Amino acid sequence: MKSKKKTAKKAPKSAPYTLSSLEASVVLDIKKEGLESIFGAAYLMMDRAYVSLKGDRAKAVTVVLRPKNPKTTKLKALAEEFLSDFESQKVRWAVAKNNLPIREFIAEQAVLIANGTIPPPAPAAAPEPAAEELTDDQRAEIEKLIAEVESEIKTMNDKKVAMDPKGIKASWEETQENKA
Amino acid sequence: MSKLTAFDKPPKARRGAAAPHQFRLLGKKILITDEHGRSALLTRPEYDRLLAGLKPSDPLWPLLQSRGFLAEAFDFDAAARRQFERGLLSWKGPASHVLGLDAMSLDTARSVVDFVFRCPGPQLTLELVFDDASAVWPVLWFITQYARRKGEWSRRPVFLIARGRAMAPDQADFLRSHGVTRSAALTLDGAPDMKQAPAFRAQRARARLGANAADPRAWARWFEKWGFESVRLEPASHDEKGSDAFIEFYGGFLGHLIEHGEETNLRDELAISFLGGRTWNLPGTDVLEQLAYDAAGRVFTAEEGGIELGAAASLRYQDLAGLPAVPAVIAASHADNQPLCSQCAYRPYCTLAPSLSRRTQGTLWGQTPSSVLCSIQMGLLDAIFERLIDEKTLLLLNKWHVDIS
Repeated sequence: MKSKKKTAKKAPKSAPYTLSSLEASVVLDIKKEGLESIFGAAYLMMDRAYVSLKGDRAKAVTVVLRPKNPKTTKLKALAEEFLSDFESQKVRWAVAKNNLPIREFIAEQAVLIANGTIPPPAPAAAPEPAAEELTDDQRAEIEKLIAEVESEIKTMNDKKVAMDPKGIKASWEETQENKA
Repeated sequence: MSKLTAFDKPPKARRGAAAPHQFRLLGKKILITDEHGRSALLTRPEYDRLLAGLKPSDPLWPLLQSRGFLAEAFDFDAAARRQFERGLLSWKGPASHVLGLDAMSLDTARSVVDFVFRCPGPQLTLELVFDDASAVWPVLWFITQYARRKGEWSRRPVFLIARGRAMAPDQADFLRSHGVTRSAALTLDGAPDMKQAPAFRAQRARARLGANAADPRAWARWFEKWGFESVRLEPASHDEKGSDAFIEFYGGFLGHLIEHGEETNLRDELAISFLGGRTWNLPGTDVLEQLAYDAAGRVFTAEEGGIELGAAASLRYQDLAGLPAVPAVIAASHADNQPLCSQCAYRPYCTLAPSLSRRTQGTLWGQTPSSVLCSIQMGLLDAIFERLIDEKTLLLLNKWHVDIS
């Protein structure tokens, strides 16, 4: 199918875009704009559009935007949203690149702290003894606890019997068990 | 505009001016945050000055210098320590353990508690979840006693939370006398009937919004009236309609708390979790902060939609890292690995649960640009940060012991 090309429009302070009947395309110069910002803006369009990148990643790429919902999405608005995000991506990447040495240094120092090379890390919590290493007293206490909980269960069952002395609510298995 | 927000006319960033940060447009202001949760709300001219390079004579200089946003006056030692303290380098193991008690046997309860105490964290929280306390009372009783003793033996603080829909008064008294926090699982439908008491007296509430939940301010008054100390709200559903209704409800609820901050004792657990760095209380921290256990004693990466890791009776804590699901979940929940999260101003406060991404989008990794979970977290954080300019909000956070300076 032959797509109708419309005249290229000038987007604010950025690359021009082209609209066809199905998709919007933007051509971006890699050397001038940087590949990361293009990838970043393309990723952010995922909720609204299918994005494909074509061209030579050393020179220029064409970003093709095809709306996921063509009935409600206007191509012009889609292209302008992409360019707006792309311009902000350039700011985000500029801040990130400007601070790369700072972030690398902080990460390196944090690893050195973790290794104990510079001020030693806080002492780790004492490991809990494994079940096999419990003392006799601790074992006895567990047994006592289990005996107590069994007594608690018995009390609960007795209460049930008291509330149902004729065993009306008892299941067939329970009545047979009592008979046996 | 994408979820990250974008400038109409972007500013220029000069090298050596602003320290590492992310930005977000909030109304007429620009929120900037660093990796460790320090933040500032600036006007556009102020942000332009920051990116161009602030002079020491600038009135903004002391504030932004003290919060670590100036590259030329950066405290490297403090930043490195915070990186160590808040990152995986100092990770001590999952602190929150959610146990589903319905139909759990005593033997299983014992093996699950034993497994929990094999996790090496300096403190442990056991959240005991059930429908009706009467139906699980022996197990609830046993875990309360057993976990307390295990805590004393291992010399670690243990926090117990009993979360259910029903509880008899004598059971509530027993739990209170043993230091167990009682949490009521509620569903909020329509507007509240102020005369209708909750099923039992609880300190906390885990309140899921019903499809028709309305009047968040009246609900806040209902919680206050019945003596709740804190509430954690949850959306009715993880679709677009449910998320929009939830964010709107949350805004109204938080607005009421801020307006009545002086007299109310009710706290919002979501805001405290986001801003106080207690990410374990968020539905987003599989394995790193939370493990879950079902009635059969199986271990999962999270309470809802978690991946099964093995049986508590036979699994060893040190074997967790060797299971294929664990590195996958941890890698997916780390913000540096998510293109959108790595650039998000809310990165230090938020985590998207891989288990929830798996349930809603069919992938552990999730696709954040189209994720409703991400929209919900962004909406909640927008509601909080938009109100941070208000002095009343700061006073309320101070009352909740949340330090955002």
